[in-house]
Order: sequence, then structure tokens, then C-alpha cells
Amino acid sequence: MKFRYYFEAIVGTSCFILILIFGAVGGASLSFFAFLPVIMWKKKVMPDERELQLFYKTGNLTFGLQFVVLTIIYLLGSCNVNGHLIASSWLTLAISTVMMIHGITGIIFLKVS
Amino acid sequence: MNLTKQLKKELIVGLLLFMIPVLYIVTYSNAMLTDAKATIASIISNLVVLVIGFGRIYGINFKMKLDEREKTIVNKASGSAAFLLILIMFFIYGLRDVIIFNNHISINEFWGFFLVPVFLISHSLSGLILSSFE
Repeated sequence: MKFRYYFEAIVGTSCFILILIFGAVGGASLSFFAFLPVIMWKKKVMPDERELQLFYKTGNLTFGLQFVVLTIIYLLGSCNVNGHLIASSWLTLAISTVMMIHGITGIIFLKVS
Repeated sequence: MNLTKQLKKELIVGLLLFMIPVLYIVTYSNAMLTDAKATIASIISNLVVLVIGFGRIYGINFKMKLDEREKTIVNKASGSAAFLLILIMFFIYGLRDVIIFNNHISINEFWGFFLVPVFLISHSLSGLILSSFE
């Protein structure tokens, strides 16, 4: 599970940065997430009861923060970053941020408990 | 069960909050509001939706006294609600250039108005479904 959270945090952050730099084209980097289930299957990762509870807890916190992130993205929709309008790639930005938050909160929860 | 009652309340609040942006958009698209009035109405409707919606999410996650089983249901419901929300976002993104109302307002311009109500509805629905299974 540790690997999963690190993967989500690293790929989510890099996607977020790439979308800000290249605009909607950077959204293609989201496809890296397709490797996650393959790697999990190859590594035979099976979460135990404690990790499963932490996974649900992480989902709960991600849900709350997703709400804040989406509101911020909507409010900043008319802003131009590096010549690219945020409103034109809000979906990919939102998904990469959600994955990033899920990864980071998962790492924190694993370290704290 | 205390949680089921709260989730039903959340669903009703979500459905009621859904009506606020719909009313605002219908009024605005029929050119019944001037620009200044429209801005004020937009700010007020957004604030009402944000405050009430955030209050519900905060209340159900942190304020309520839940037992271990109910806590697991809330946590599980949030995970599935987050997934449901991403699916709805894909749907909205696909329809981003569609114009529904008279005043050439496309969905891309007002999707954010429905964020909180959709959040509440998806959370309460997935919570109710999960609690009926467990």
C-alpha cells in the first residue's frame, strides 16, 4: 500500500505541474495511472485489515479536500497560467490534484498510525 | 439508526441546495437580472450553498458521535462518493459546450455552482446504499 500512495503522490504532482506548463496537452500524463493496477497485480499487493481501514479513512479525507480543490479550480477558472487557461483543462487538473491528495494523505496516515 | 437519519437529512439538504443555482441560472438566463444584481445574486447563492454544504460535510464527518461500524460506513461512503463525483465530472466535461438556456450560457460556465449539491447527494446516496447492505 505504501508503494500505491507514493505512486499516486509522485504521478499526481508531476501531472499537475505538466498541466500547468503545457496546458491541456499535459493531461496526457494522466495515462501513467494506468500502470498502477498492473504493477499492483505483478507485485501481488494484498492490503491487510489495518491498511484497508486506513485506505477508507484516506478516501474520506480526500473526499473533503476534493470539495475544496474543485471550488478553488472553479474560482480560478479565468486565470492564465503560462499562457493556458485553467478553465480549458479543469477536469485533468482536478483529477491529478485528487490523486496527489489521496497519495499524500495516505502516506501521512501510514506514518502517523 | 442515527447515521441513516443524518444521511437522509443530507440527501434532502443536497436536493434543496440543488434548486438554488438552478433558480439563479433560470432567472439570469431569462434576462430578469441586471449585471450588478446578477453578481450579488451569484455571490449570495454561492455563499449559501458553500456554508450549508460545508456545514453538513463537517457535521457528519467530525461532529457526530458514531460507533466503529458507522465510522467505517461513512469512510467507505466517502471513497465511493469521490469516485462517483469523478464520473459525474467526466459527464459534465463531455457536455461542456452544450447550451441549455436562452442567454447563450454553456455548461462550462456554471458547473461549479452544482459542486456542493452534487457532493452532498452522491455522499448521502452512497452512504444509504452501503448502510442498507451492512
